[in-house]
Amino acid sequence: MPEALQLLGGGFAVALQPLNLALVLVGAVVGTSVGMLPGIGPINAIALLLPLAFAVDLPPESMLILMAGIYYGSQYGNSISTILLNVPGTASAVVTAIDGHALTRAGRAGPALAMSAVASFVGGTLSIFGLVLLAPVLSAWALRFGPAEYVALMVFAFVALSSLAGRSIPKALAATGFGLLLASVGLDPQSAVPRFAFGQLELLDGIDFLVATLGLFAVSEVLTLAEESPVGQSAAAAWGRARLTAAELTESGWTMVRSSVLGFAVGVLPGAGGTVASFLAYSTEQRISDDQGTFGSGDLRGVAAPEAANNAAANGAMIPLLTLGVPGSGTTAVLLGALLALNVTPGPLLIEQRPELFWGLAASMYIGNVALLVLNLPLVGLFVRVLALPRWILVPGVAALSYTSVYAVTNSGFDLVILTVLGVVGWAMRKGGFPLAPVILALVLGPLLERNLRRSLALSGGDWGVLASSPIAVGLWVAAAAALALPPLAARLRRSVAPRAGSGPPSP
Amino acid sequence: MSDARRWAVALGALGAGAGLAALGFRVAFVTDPLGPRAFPWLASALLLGAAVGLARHPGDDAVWPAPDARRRLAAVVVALLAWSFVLPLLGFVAATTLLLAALGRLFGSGWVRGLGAGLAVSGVLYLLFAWGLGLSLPAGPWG
Amino acid sequence: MWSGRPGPTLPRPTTSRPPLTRPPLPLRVGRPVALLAIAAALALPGCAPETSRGWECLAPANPGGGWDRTCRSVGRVLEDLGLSPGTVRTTNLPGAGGGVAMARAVTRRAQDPSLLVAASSGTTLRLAQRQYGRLDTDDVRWIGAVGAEYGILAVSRDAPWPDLSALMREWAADPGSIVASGGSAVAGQDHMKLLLLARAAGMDPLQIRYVPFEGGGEAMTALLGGFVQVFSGEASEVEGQVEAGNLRILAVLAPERIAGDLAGVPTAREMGFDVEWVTWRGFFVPAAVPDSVGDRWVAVLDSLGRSEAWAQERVRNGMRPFLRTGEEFEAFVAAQVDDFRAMSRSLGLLPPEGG
Repeated sequence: MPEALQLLGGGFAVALQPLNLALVLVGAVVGTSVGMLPGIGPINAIALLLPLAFAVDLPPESMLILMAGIYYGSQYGNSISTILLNVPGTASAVVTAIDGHALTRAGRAGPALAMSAVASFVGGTLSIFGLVLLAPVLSAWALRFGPAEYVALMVFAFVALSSLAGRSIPKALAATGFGLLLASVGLDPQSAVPRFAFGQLELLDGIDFLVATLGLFAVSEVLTLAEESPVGQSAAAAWGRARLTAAELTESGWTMVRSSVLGFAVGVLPGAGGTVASFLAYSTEQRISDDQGTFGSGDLRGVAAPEAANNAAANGAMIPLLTLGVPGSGTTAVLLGALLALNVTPGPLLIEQRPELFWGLAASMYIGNVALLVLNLPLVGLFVRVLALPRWILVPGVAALSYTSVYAVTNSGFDLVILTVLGVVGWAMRKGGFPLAPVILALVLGPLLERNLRRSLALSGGDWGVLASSPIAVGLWVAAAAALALPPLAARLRRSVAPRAGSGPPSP
Repeated sequence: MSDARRWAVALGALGAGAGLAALGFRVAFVTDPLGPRAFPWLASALLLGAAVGLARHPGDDAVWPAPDARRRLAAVVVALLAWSFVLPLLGFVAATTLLLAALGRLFGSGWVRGLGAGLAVSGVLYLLFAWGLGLSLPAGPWG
Repeated sequence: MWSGRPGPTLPRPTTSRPPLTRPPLPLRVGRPVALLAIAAALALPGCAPETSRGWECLAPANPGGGWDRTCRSVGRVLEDLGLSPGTVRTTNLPGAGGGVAMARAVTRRAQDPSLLVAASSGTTLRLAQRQYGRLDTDDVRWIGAVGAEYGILAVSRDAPWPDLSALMREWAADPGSIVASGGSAVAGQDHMKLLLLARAAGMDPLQIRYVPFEGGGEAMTALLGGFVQVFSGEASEVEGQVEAGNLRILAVLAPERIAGDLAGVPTAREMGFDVEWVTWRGFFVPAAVPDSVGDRWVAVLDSLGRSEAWAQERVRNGMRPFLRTGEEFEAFVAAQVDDFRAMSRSLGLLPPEGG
């Protein structure tokens, strides 16, 4: 597509203007810093900077470039704090936490952070090409995803992720059930009936995702550490090199490429994309490349997969935003508001009507990705030094960071109590050998599955046949069946070839 | 009672309770064929299934904390809950300094070092959230 | 009606200034580090300029939503016009679709003279449906609305209905054959628009098939993908697709035609259906503030609403002119709640009488 490349060249001319270059760098740095605070993320930074940007009257493409810089800068940021401190603020960061924090505990935080930066770069860069070359095609693909297709996708995701279940089936079921229960708290949008709210106004909107992840992961970790011996210098004795070896890079190369493609394709779907992408990429990689059974206990590819997928999905989400005017996440909703305020109407005509905007954005994303890699790789050595803090500062600091984030976002003492309760529950689950990932998984995918299933049946008037009435849906059901049937077959095959069988990975 | 049995009872109670509570979700008019009860019932079925599974195949018992560790845990939980309640009264920096000092003690520091570090960390957090991001944290009676 | 409320005589400011004189630091006591820490901990928040005094706008939702934007845009214009003492701070207090924020204005912040809470037609609808527990319209003082959007009904480009009457005729003849999507929950705003329309067309509203989505964007995608036949939402949500010719707006639910790019679209009333849907954006304040404070808020919003600066900012936020303040606004809210309540009652969402 020489035409697209020529237009992209024009985009680079826009993005390389000194003002825009400066803005993308500012955005990347601000985004990374803000992203490190769990759950704060890009929304607050954008909401804060937007009035300033209006006040100085930036041109629309510059404004968009600044916001996009914040947007994907923050994707890096939360990975950093998650890998080091286990404070995931988003669904995607939960996946990174599984292997990322395991690596930190194993004294390999440096390589984990470097891998996260490289994988984010690969995911971001590859998906920009996808954005540039395939935007119109993909917006048509997103439109063909109706409720029934989403149901099939969610079932596929649930099946694919059974690999996160750990060793005991009853315990995995319990964790999933608990997650579904948490997910159904609040006013049911499809019937206006309050569920498990016990007359509490604070529960009507459901349990905030941030409260659940920080409670189950960060607070329960603080409790676990409090239970262990109280003395000791730091959380991790060593943090390893700040660089990746060539072997580590080559080993993760295909993981990053596959995860980028998958993440981008799923990220294009409004309403499901961002959250599901990392989970799917992780489980796919686990199936394809985890021949040693090291996923879950600190495998660099377990960091590479969700990070590449997450950044690719973030870029993929720009497609429905720009070409359909449909925000796929809270952050893109803020971007949408900003676009409308700039008198830019997202829609099928946007790329033709405002080429400088679309191509300038694509080119600046590319520059931003390079900038983030160049900024972050050398800083890895600095970031890991936080682990050198004595334990009596670090662990209370993690608690204070989690509690402050929740309070700053919700302004509610009630949520702080829920946070503590979930922390205790998470601690008890760890003690009892229950896996935590299925809880988060059910919390994220459960509502998507429920709402789309009920939508499908409402649309079909109760006919379940609608769930397999399109080629996309059928394809996803086949994939789900394959994901269910193949691992046992493969395991049997492997066992017959070599007697050394790797058992399932331990749960996080 | 073994660990697994205790878990089975707890999960069974949670599952049954949730299932019964879901009986009370009455819709005013039918908007979709499945209704609001189906998924809570799925959740409660999973929990009940897990309870039966655990009761029939109990695994190894976990090592539950020794009394001194249990006291430490209780202290952490109390400190965190206390922070939630005194936050609006004392303001963010004061409450968080005290929390960090209290937690720091549990992790082996003295009060003095704990207060110093607590002030540093809470000051940084306050500046970051309230100034940097314009989010509101209670300033307390001294604000 | 508000003056009858026995209010407290003096507002107790919840954001007090730091005392002018601090007690001297006990310098000679031991452990100076610890004391210094405590003293600094108490003093630090006092240094924060914008977080400790001035007006505060409570946005009952997360950043990025409509309420959040109302707070931030109005706050900025108030500041630019010099109507407010310094910056207007926006605080997000999500929960219960606005119920948590209203509860806070009724309880903990009941006498705060510097607190403004963002509200919209979503607030009155939930109040009418008693989704805020025991809270009711009288528990707060309604100040005014400064802008609005109007509801619209859209269909796809090749839909068989040339206008709203044709659609409603076919809908009434065979209610099961048409499914509508919207971005709000069941019984929420987008659903309510359709229910009111069905009632105006002489149908049984309960026969309307409505499928809720996560926001107007997703609901519109379902229309574009052909999964539903009718979309109920706001004009700004479909603008791009209408421009591209993929969607058609059949009617606007406004009292009269909207000037500008939608001037060619008839109102529902023109087509013979007496339905209006004003998605207004405005504010209430705690009811227990003294009348003088309430009147000040009304005056402030009034001058804001008439200013050129607000007109520009309003357009940026995709809102049409809609200014109602003071008693006029209180009456408007009361009528809206009555109307919604009657509708919800007839649907069985509320107990029939006295509920």
